[in-house]
Amino acid sequence: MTTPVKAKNIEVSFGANQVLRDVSMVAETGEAVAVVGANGAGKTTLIKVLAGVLEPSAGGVTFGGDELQKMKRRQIARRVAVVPQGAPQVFSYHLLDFVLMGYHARTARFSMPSTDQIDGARRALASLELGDLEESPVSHLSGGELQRALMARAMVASVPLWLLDEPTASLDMRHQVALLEQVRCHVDGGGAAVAILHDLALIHRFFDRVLVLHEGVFLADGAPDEVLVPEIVSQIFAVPMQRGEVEGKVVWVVA
Amino acid sequence: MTKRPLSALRIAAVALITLIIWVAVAALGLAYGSSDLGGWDLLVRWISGDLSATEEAIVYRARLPRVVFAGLVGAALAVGGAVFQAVLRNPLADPYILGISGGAALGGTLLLTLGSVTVGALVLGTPVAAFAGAMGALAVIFGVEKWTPPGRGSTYVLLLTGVIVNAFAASVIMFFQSVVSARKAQEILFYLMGSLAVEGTPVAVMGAAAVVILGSIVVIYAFARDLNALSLGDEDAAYLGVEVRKVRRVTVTVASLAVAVAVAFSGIIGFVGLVVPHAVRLVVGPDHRVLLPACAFGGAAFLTGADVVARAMFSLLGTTLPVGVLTSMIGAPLFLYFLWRSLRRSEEWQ
Repeated sequence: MTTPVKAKNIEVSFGANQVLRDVSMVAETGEAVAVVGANGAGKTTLIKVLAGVLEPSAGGVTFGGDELQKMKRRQIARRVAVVPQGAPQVFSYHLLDFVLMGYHARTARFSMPSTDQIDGARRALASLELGDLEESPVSHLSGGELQRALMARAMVASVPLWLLDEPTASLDMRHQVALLEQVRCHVDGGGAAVAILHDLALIHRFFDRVLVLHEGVFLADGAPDEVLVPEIVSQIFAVPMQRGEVEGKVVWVVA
Repeated sequence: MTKRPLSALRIAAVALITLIIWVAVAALGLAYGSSDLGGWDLLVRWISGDLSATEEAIVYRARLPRVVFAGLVGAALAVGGAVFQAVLRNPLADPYILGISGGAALGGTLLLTLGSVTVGALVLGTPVAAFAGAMGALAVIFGVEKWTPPGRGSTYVLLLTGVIVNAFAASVIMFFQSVVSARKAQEILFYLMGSLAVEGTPVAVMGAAAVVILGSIVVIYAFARDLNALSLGDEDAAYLGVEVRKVRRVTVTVASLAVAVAVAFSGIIGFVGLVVPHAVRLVVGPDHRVLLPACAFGGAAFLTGADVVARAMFSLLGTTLPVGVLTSMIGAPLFLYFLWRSLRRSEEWQ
């Protein structure tokens, strides 16, 4: 098993506010890792550090042994695809053109998209039920559609590691499951994924490991069934939580 | 049947159509001017090499340089506007937003106010001072931007610094306009309104300006795909593999260089850099691989056309209108039309 991403002793501060404190983690090939924590725990900051767009004040990140800080953005983009939280779009690219931008790091400066790339983008859109919207301007998409469009863009990049920042936040249940099935498919096909998620039941179902981030440090790291217990979950969200089972599947409720 | 994404053929077709539009407008600019001499038969005789000495003087010394210069300035402003709108992710951005106009205007005003130059030297002196002012403004802006940590709102730092530079330059210009003589103040006012009168400028100087502007556009085009990514946002562009800071610095510097050269000779011509990229984007879409060439020829056609109208007004008003006045008068309703068209299309999506 190889290690697509390894972060060691990461520290990040914004002024006097220390957001991440001595955080270390790995994501192995074939592993889906969920990151959970309350708002402001440092989850998005961690994803940005792993993606190389935020430089930590201490510590470092390696991809398969290569130091992130010494890599060019193009090299990073050939190994990591990021699904950020969807932000409103200013310019109205058609959805298909938007997804084709996922090939950016693999396309020469003056090249046009190849037939294979166009077919790949259409397949990604179809798998996320966006095939009918390929000519829609992205500025006209709903929050959930934009989130799936960002996912489709990551899918076409054909990279080993996916970093997902709350990819299901704007999705209905059916699309949440459909998107996480794509994550599972990527991981089972030899990739790796690190995703921020708030739905604990979905973490039990789709993820191999969970990292619990609390006030800038990891409180727990392990298999979801072992780590996600009422004591820890109640502590991080500061609300009493109960875990149960329905037809063999884990469910969580506020007590 | 679904449309295919952008192809090289479509880019070539759009570029060719906009080029033809510019050539048609340029032909109009060659045929008609403030002088009574002209008409389409003048063009026919020019092509067949059958011009009189007077006609040759008008075509080669007045109209041709003016038409070519209008094309160059229009292209520089429109491409500059497209670049700034993408890099700053701000549809209201124009090529002057980072203080280029303020710097150039201040440089030109300083020379007109303080310089004791002969009329002959003024042709060269004002452009040089304006160019130096524009470059000074750019140096201030990038000096401030250099100290901004990456990913911490550096786009807004650029914007804010540009606004401050423009405001500072405007206050200094007003100060000079207040203390100089009425004749000098009017001279400064006319300079600030912009003009495409380049008659008498040495061919070598105009050639150098053309090389800088056209070269800048070619360099910017090489970053067209990066500009697409940047227009999604700095972080998104970085995720896609773009060296955000480097690309922004190169594209903004090169676009500013082209705009600085243009305004050094023409003064501040407003609206072209704002309205042309918008209008062209509404027709050909936001992809910079097709948007940039369309903006270059579209901007050239728009400013050349505005100048033709401005010169034609001579017979009505007895004076040539500053072309900057007309670009706004023509541009505003044109822009509203394109906006209306775009909104109608949007309704179809609902």
